[in-house]
Amino acid sequence: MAPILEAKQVHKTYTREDAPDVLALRGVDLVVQRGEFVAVTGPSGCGKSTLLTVLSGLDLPTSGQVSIAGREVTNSSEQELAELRNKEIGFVFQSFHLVASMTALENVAFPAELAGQSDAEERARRLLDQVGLSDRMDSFPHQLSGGEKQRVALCRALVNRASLIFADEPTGNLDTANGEQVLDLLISLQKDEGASLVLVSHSPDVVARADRVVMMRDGVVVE
Amino acid sequence: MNWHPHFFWRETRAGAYQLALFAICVFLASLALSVVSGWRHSVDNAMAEETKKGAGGDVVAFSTEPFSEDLVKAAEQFEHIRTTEMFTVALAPKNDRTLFSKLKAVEVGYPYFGEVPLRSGRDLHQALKDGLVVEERVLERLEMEVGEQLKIGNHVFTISDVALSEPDRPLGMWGVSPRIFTSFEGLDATGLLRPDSYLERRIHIRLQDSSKASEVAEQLRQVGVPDQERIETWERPPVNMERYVENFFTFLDMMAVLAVALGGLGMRSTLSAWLRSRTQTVAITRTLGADQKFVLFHYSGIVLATALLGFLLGLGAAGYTLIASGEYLSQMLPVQVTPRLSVGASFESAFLCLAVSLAFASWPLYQAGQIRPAAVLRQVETRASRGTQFVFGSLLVVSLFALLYFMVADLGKAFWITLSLSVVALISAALSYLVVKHLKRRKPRSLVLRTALGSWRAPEARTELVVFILSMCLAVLYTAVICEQALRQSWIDAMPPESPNLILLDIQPHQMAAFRDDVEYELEMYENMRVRVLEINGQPLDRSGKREYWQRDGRGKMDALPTLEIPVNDELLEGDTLYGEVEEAVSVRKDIAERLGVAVGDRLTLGLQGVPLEATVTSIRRSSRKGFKPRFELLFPPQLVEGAPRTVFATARIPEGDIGALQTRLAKLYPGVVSMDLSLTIKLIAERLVQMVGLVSYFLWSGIAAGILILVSATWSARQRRSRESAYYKVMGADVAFLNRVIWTENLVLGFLTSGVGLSLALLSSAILCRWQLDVPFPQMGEQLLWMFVLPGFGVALLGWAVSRKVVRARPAPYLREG
Repeated sequence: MAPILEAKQVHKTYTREDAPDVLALRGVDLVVQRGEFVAVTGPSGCGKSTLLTVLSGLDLPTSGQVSIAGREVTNSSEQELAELRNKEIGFVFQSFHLVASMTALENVAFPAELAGQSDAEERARRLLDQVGLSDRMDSFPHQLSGGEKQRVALCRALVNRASLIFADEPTGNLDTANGEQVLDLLISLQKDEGASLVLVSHSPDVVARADRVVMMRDGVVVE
Repeated sequence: MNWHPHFFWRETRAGAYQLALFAICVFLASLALSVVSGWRHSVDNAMAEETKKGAGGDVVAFSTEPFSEDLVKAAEQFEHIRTTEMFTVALAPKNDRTLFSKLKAVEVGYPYFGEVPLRSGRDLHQALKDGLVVEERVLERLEMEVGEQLKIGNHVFTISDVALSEPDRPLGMWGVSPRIFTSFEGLDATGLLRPDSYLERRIHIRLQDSSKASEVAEQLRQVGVPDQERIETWERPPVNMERYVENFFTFLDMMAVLAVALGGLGMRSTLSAWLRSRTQTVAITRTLGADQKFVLFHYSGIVLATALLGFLLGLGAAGYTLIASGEYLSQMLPVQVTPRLSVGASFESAFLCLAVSLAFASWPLYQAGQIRPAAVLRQVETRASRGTQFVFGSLLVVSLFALLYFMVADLGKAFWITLSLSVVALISAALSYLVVKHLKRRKPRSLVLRTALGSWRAPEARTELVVFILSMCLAVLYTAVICEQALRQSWIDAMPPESPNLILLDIQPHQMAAFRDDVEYELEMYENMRVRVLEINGQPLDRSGKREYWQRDGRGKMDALPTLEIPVNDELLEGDTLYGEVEEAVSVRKDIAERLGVAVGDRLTLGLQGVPLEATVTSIRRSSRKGFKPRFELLFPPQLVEGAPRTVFATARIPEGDIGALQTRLAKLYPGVVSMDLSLTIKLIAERLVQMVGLVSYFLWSGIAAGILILVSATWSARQRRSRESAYYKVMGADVAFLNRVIWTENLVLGFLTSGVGLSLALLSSAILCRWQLDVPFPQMGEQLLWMFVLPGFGVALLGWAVSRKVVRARPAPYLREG
């Protein structure tokens, strides 16, 4: 079966005024198979979050190619990228990034409603129930704890049965207990849905749970 | 307290956008205050200068009857001259054209103050020896020249010169009928002087010492006929003029305070947005050791400096407005004004503007002072107690009341206007709040609509405030427009075909039959008597207090009609018939009955040009103003007033093209009869209505601008949040088209909500005004109402989209980076 994600010679340079350019990624190659859990790790500033942003299409590489589910991301239009993000990709961020003016249920249901699914709300409820938030569905993000917010984000990432999940330090803002619980949930849901997971973390405990580890240093993959 | 210029400057730069919006709000308030202040100072100065000229003497006696002997004797002790004015129809024999004009006979020595410059440069009285001196308009309208002949009454005069101006007759709305000067000999020659003729007689007295004017005036009042002869001094302008100007400025003050209040809400909102964005900076500063005083000192300084800038810009714009408004103001007011922004007016508006700005800035500044260092680490709520909120809220109301009191200088008026504006504001605020709250709770099926309404839940969205301000401005503006339409449709456009367009005055009772035959058109003739109520149920009316209020209170002269039939425009409110079985009966109009406090059954003692009369009130009527029909305060059975002095006037509906010829024919047959073509009056009323609405609009556009600024400010301050939300939506798969639909939907709902609330309030208030105040039916305005709803709706939507559109195009990545 074809890989879910392929990145070839991806470069990313940030240009700044009155300062030297920052070469965040310098020729990164990466392949992720379907159903695989890949952890990307490395010291601070090595480019792992930038890699995630470029791989997911949230930002464009300076050069190189990225394909997701057989579709080339680097040459896609905004419309095509939007469709890809809605139907194929799920995101989990360190700072949760939930919409403040929507309830937990609305946050989770939103991608499904965008995709035109008639059972969006029902699916959202099921997912929230699965992660133990059935009594918090009508709460707004500011009313939830960090762990609860991240669980909402997990559900949101999976509501459209994404084939590829990108998680950027998902436990970074959580205490140990919550972090473990969230990671367990993430991996469990990933396995249940058969999705691939690309997770960025600097925590060895987190990285140790992955099927494969990619180490980065100074913008390149070293192992 | 150390001042840190770097901190001051950097914080100003960081908040440049919001501070610019704040400055514009101050500019709007300053413009409104400075314009009104400048106008008032200019008009007060002009009236003070013009009053002596306008009065025509240090002391002036007025009467429409021949002066009493005692008054004449008393006046003769001083240097004095007489003048007499009357309406008349002048006829040009060369082309048979007629002109409704005002004839003024003057004695040698006129005018005591000011001058009447003539085109030839001659002295007025020299020219009057050779004939008439006329205003330029007389020559224009009659297509005549100096040296040609003009017939007035029974006499043919020569036009000997042209008067370029007149010191005691202001231009503008008072100058409907062109002026013709003559001598008293000339007046006698016209043959128009009859005992019952309506003449405005004056004795102008010049004193050696003007400061004695009040004393002399009092002496004359002692000997004059109280209800007939009025004595004024140069120290006060004519009563009607003074009252009109006073009411005009009360109205303007109200509009200006409304503009200031709305601008003030804009100030508060923009400052709140700015200071909220500085929360982190203030918190960091506090953790580094700065205290509350440091924070308040620097931010208050920034606010003051910005307010001063806004005020100065407003002052400059006001200066220009004042210069450009001279002609307009002179049309609206009975005095020639050259508006300028005086030093006094500038200081007055500076004080008021900066005081109001500080009042509205106090709450945001207080909140900034409450930011604690912990806000560095997490969002810390700085919610003030209800008591504190109440105090600051009250400060605003008190400030506006104080502003109004300062401007109108009348505690009662200031109180009632503040109360009225507060009621309107409360209703608008309550409606805005309830509707927005209801919409926020809705969960519509449409994802776009649900997402759009969802963004209103964010605390910084300020949706209720935007809707409140814009809808209130629209409500007041639309009320003025609807009432103007109501008056226009009732009085002008929708006049029934049978409404008169010609009025004929000073017909002699014995001429009635012949006159009717000679006119050859259908006439409605009215015998009019001038009557005054002297006693009610044996109790004399209290005639103390200001004489100028007698007319308002029902103590002045009234028009009475002897008739057995109820006039076409009247309807009985009390009493089954006009007079019942009572012989000595009188029917009273409702407003007069209310002012005098009389009811059916009360016994009135009346004065009918010196002839006493007793009558019982047998009915009370309402009289509509439709169609320019005459309205009479009192009706009598003809047999009760048989033989009593009266004049006759007639109204007629004449084909437009025949009016001129009829006027010419009547001028020849009945030189003493005055004919007035109503089309000019109607045109003037229409023009004044439009100008009044224009004046309301000028001030309210300031308020609308403030509302728009709040909308822009709220949208701008929310752009970070909106950009972040857009990034999240994009992460979840939303495309640009979806985001555009959300923004448009949100702003369309906001726009139509605003125009809907504003229009609803306007319909309610104008319905009340039309019914209870103006006594006209609600106007037909189907298509116009639709535009009034649609245009602001789209306007707000377009503006909201324009400010938000960049957010849609931003790439999501920058908003998702950690740290």
